[in-house]
This record gives sequence, structure tokens and C-alpha cells, in this order.
Amino acid sequence: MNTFALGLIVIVYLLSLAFLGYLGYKKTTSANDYLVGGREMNPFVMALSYGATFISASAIVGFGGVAAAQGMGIQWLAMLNMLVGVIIAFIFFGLRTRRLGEKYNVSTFPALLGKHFQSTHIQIFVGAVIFLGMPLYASVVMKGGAVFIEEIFAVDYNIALLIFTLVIAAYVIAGGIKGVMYTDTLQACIMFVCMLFLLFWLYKSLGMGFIEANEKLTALTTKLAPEKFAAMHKGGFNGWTSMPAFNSPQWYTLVTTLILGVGIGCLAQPQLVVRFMTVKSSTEIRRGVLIGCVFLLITVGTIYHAGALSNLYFFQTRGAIATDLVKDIDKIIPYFINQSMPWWFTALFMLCILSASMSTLSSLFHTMGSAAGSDIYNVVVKRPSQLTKVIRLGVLVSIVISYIICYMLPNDFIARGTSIFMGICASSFLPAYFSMLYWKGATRQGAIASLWTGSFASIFAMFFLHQKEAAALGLCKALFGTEVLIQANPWPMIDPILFAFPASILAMYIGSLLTQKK
Amino acid sequence: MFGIEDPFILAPYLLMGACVIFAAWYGLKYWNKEDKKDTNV
Repeated sequence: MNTFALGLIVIVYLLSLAFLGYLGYKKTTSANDYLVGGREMNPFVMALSYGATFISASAIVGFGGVAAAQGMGIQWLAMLNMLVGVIIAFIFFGLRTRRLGEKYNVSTFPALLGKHFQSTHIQIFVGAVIFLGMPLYASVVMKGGAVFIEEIFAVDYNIALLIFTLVIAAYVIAGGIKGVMYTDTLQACIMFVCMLFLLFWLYKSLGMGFIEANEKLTALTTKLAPEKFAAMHKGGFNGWTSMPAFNSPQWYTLVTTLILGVGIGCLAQPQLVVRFMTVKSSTEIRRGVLIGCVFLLITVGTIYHAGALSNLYFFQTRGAIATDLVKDIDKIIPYFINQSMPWWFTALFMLCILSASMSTLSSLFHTMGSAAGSDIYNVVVKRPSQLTKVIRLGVLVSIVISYIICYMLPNDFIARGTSIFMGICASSFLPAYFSMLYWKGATRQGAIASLWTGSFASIFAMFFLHQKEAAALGLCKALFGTEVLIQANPWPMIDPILFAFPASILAMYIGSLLTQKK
Repeated sequence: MFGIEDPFILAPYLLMGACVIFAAWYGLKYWNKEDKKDTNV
């Protein structure tokens, strides 16, 4: 790759971010500006920022790698991202969230729940779950970005991670939500353009169209060595254009962890919910539906499709499939881009991955800092005059924690780490959030019961029920001498969200019914 | 259809198209409409 051109592109990109971060800094004069942009953001900025925050490097590098390994079944996630993550989120959650946020004059998700249920306990609890749980997701996103920089630049992973983190820290701490959303918008545009080109060049490289490529990808399984296919089929693999075998480990991972965990989990993501509170009226949110949907179609729809088709490309050019060439599925997409795309696009695509990582990370850091500063410190200590400073300090602490966790992550963890976090969000927050918007009978006690039940059940299922996490964490083995408490299939393969989310709903319902005033 | 035989793989592709069509209809219908509920906050 032409190092000079690559360096030039990166410098222009960083200067643009610096300028937008500075713009955010100049326009931030109060805590309200720092947290919700003074509730006057443009619908394009809001929708693109929402989309860019939603789609992280995990979605591109991690889930793209899953598509390469397991096939197009992951497109259900892209569809749910659009249907649940944009259409349902904007229309059924966003409009009411914006109105309530304005009515209560709150600027964060924990404050919204806390104010509605008139409970500082709820505000602090939700803030604490965010501040303690979100670093896992942030560290996964950081890893996705750093792995890509390592692959493309051939630089040391540690240096890549450090520079990457420092740049984001600078504009989040200085520019607040305005800096974050302005930079998100630029990053969303880069992602959009890059994905369009990727799709175009992929088909050009394959030398065929959409239907022919799909047919050849379907036929590819017949060209694999029988013992190779038998080994893949054992885990449930049926081909890249087929769903995994029902009840197989791959099916459970795909359906319960990736599709349901992320597909439903996206509804109760605090860093996304706060976007609805940054606009001045419902019209902006309604305009955002189309913008967000098209953005997700092009970004996630493309990368999952390309991930699966990368096998066809590798088979045509190298006589092997993606997982034969790259063992760590988190590195398949970077490798594929490096091998199949023109050098200048590889440089541009690096910006796309950087943009995806940075836009999500900046929002996560901002949300964690807000939770620590505004929802925990400010509620406990009550010093509003220092609020912006404290939030900035919270952002800094959350960055350091995420950075440390990033070094402890195992391989092949990007997609799973994302799912775990989104599953926790759905199980802990979604029943209370939904009830706040739609159920007048919901009570404070019901919400508290739901929040505690969802969080506790998620953690319990991870430590004692779900094989992948329980085996890695080792607590169940240490206490009971077995990796999981229920060993009969399919229980060890079922994602924690399927235990925790219904339990949380039940707690909300029963808790509210028992404490309703007649 | 479209070179994909498994209906469970084809379905998300078709549904994604349906989502975009709905979003276009919804977005354009309400593009310039103010929401009366906004004034009743």
C-alpha cells in the first residue's frame, strides 16, 4: 500500500475530527448542551449519529466475520436492526421518549427512568449498570478498531490501540454530545460511501452478478472436501446460503445470541435512547426513520452479504474458504478487504472501520461519563455547578477502564461481547423502559424489581447456565464441579437473554400489580 | 429466487426491502407535519 497516500488520508480525517470536535466544544456552554446538545440537533445529524453509534466495528469486523464463517443467516440481524433498531425504536419508543425527556427536563436515560418512577434508586442503579457493564462493550469495539489498524498498517496492536483511544478521548471530553454527533455524522457518511463501493467492487472482482454469485456460493459446499464439510456440518453448518441446522450449536448461537440478543437489545441502549432527546420536535424523529433505515441497509446489509461472499472470492483466487485462510474470525473482514480491494480503497475502508469504531466508542464514553457524573455523582453529592467537569472526569475514567479490559479479551470475542452487552441492556432496562412509555399501571416497585431481576438473571445465566461464558469464567466449575448447572441440551447453548428477559418482564408485571394503588 | 433456495435466508432480504419501502412512505408522509402532541407536553 502507498504509505504516503494512506498517511495523508488519515491526517485529513483526523484534522476533520479535530475541527468537528472543536465546533462541538465551542457550541457547548452548559451541562444541557454537553448531555443532549441543547435539544436542537438536526434530524440528519440525529439519524446518522444514531446509525453510526449503532453500527460499530463489531458489526462490521465481528459480525461480518460471522457471516464469512456461518453464512447469510446473519442477515436476520440486519433486518432486525432496521425493523426493531430504527422503525420500532424511532416510532414507538423515540417519539414518546423525546416528549417525556422534554417534560421531565432530563438529559440521560437513567434520569428519564428515575424521574418517571420518582426514584433516585432507579437512576443510580441504571447509571451503575451502564458505568460497570458498558466498558465490556466499549472494549470489544476498541479491539475491533485496533485489530483492523494492526492488520492494515502492520503496526503493533498496542500502539494502534493507544493512539486510537487518545484521539477519541480528546474530542469526547472536549466536545460533549455535540462533538460526538458532529463527528458521528462525518463518520456515518464515510461508512455509507465505503460500503457502497465495497459492494460494487466485490461483484466486479467476482465477475458476476447478484443471482449468479448466490448460486455459486450455494454450490461451493459441494466443492469442499467431504471430511471438511462433515466437520463444519457437525456444528450445524448447512452452507452459506442456508440457515444452520435447527437445534445445533451454531443455530443457537446465531438465533438466540446474535439475532435476538442484538436485535432486541438495541431497543434499550442508553447511548441510542439519548439521541431521541437531542431533537426539538417529533418531526425530526419521523424524518430520521428513512435516513436511519437506508443507512443500515447499506452498511450492515452490505457487510454481512460481502462476508458470506468472501468465501467465493477466496475460493476463486486461493482455492480455499475464509476460515481456512484466517483462523480468527474477527480478522476475516480486514484480511478480505486487504486482499480483494484496490490499495486506495483499503486505506479508505480503514477510515470506515475507524469511523464505525470511533462513532460508537465516543457515544459509549459519553454515556458512561454521563452516568457516572450526572446520574451517580450529581444525585449523591448534589453539586450541579461542577456537573460538566465531573462528567468529563467520568468519561476519562470510563476510557481507562475500557482500555484495560481490552487487553483481557480473548480471540473471536467481538461479536459475542457485543451480544452480551446488548442482552444485558434488554433484560435489565427494556421492560421498565417500555412500561414507562406505555403502561400507566407500572409502579416504582415493579420497575425496581424488573431492573434487579433482569441484571441479576443475566449475570447468573452467564456464570452458571450459558456454556461459553460459564466455562470461561469458571465460577460454576469451582463451586459445583461442573461447567454449567443444567447440562442437558439445549440449555447450555441458550443465550442468557432468553432466561433474563422474560424474568425481568415477569418481575415488572407482578411487582406493579402487587403495589398498584387501588 | 435470487439464487437463494432457503426461504429462511431469502426472507430477511425481502423484509429489508419492505422496511425501506415502509420507512420511505412513513418518512415522506410526515416530513413536514408537526405533531400536536408536542405542544401538549
